[in-house]
Amino acid sequence: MKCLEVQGLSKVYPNGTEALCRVDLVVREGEFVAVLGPSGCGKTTLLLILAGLERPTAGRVWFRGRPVAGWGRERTLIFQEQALFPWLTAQGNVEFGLRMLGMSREERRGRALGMLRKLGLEDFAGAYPHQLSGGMQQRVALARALAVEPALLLMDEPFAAVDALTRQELQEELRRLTRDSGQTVLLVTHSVREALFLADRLLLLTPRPGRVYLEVPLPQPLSRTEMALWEEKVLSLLAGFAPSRGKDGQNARPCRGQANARP
Amino acid sequence: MSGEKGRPAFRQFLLPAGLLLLWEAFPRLGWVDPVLLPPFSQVAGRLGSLAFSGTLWLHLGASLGRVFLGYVLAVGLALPLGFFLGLSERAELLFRPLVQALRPLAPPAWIPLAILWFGIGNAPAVFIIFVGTVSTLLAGTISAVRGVDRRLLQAALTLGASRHRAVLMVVLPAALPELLTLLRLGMGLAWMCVMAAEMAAVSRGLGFLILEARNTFSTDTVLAGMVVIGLLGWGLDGAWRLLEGRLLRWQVGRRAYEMLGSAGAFQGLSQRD
Repeated sequence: MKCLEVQGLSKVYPNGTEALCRVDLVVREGEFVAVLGPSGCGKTTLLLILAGLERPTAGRVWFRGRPVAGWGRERTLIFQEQALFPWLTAQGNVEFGLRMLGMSREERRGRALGMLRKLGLEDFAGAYPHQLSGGMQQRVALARALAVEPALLLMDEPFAAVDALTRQELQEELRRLTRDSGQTVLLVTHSVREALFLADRLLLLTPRPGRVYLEVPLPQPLSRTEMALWEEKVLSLLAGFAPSRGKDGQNARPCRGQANARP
Repeated sequence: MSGEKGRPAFRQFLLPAGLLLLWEAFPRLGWVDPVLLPPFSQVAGRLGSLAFSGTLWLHLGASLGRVFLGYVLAVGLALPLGFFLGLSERAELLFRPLVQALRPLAPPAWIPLAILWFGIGNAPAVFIIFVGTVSTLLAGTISAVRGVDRRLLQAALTLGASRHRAVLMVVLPAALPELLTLLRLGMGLAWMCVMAAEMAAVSRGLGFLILEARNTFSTDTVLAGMVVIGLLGWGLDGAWRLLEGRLLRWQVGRRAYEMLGSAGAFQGLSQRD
């Protein structure tokens, strides 16, 4: 069953910047999809539109068969960093969404602590975000998002700002948590390895304006050697985008008035 | 940080004590004319007798009442309106000329109009405090609301918060540190306004007391009145800081000055990581 379907999605900002160009994609229930693309290819814009926080210039988004008209907890966002509420403790942050649901104090507490325990943060329930390391903050953000049991988890380079070791830990944790519960995820990243490690399917985006260049289904779990092969392949595909860039770093191919050709 | 807890309280008395000593010494040694600057002890004595006779409380009460009323009215209008304008660019553009044009009008500039409209008494003074503070409070509230990171709002909305709950539970606490500073400065502004107002349009209040004393060339009373204003400002500021410390407890250990303040703090820094 389709969880999310996107057709012909384009976004041009008022200042003329073309962020996205006729993006088509489908995310099925229980699937982990990674959107991979170079910096500034409109990945964040894509997520904001899917979350219902931005309006597309053209195109449509359906969520579970209905057009997306606004935001809600069924599509929860996780940001790169610093999106925790700094005036709330880790537990308070996780409880936020549950509070919005009108859950009782006891129930909230139980759910939040359970969620924090799953992420190894039970000893830090009372800590404020600034007292936690970057990796721990992202764990709290993950706990906060999973606590509201979203139908679709939208992740915007969630581990880009943490160190390599922590990143690996967090990726493993994310894989465990989402595989266990069959959580549907759309992850945006510029790390090929991260995408290969986590996703059932890869979408490669071109540089700005972003469009889907290639779709790659991955047979998970990948062995180490398979992973290395895939990495090489994907990197060479991504490198193929480079010549199409203009002198000023802008994409030389205009979006409007061109057929949406796929290789 | 922990070893210094007792010290700051004591430290804030050091400078005033030194200045008071100089104030006492200069007129006594004949370096300044005691008629123009009576020594501190004389002013303190005058203050004592004013307090004892009840005159001081009468004027103080009148001033406090006006400040309170004018300030509460200004805050009552500026905070909700500032939130609304901060969140709506279109509405803010509509109000911007008005806010920005009213801001540079110094409180005394309102005195003639206030007297014409409200006559003599409390009303014109409250009016002056209101107009003297409201546009600053409004502009400050708008900028505090505008300063809130959009990601916080986006996170809240995708966690299921409705629009108005997101404003109350995210924008408000996120803007709170800046708002509290604004409210503290606004209170100081209100005090300045009441002094200006009381020197023109009333027959009671600390400003009036000072002006009256000048007319009778009673320098010690002038200074006594000014001392009271100063002490009150200090006290209000202290009370407000206490409140800020309470409400912003989550910020402890997050601010730059905490590590730059003293040599010992750098140890604290290295212990953290």
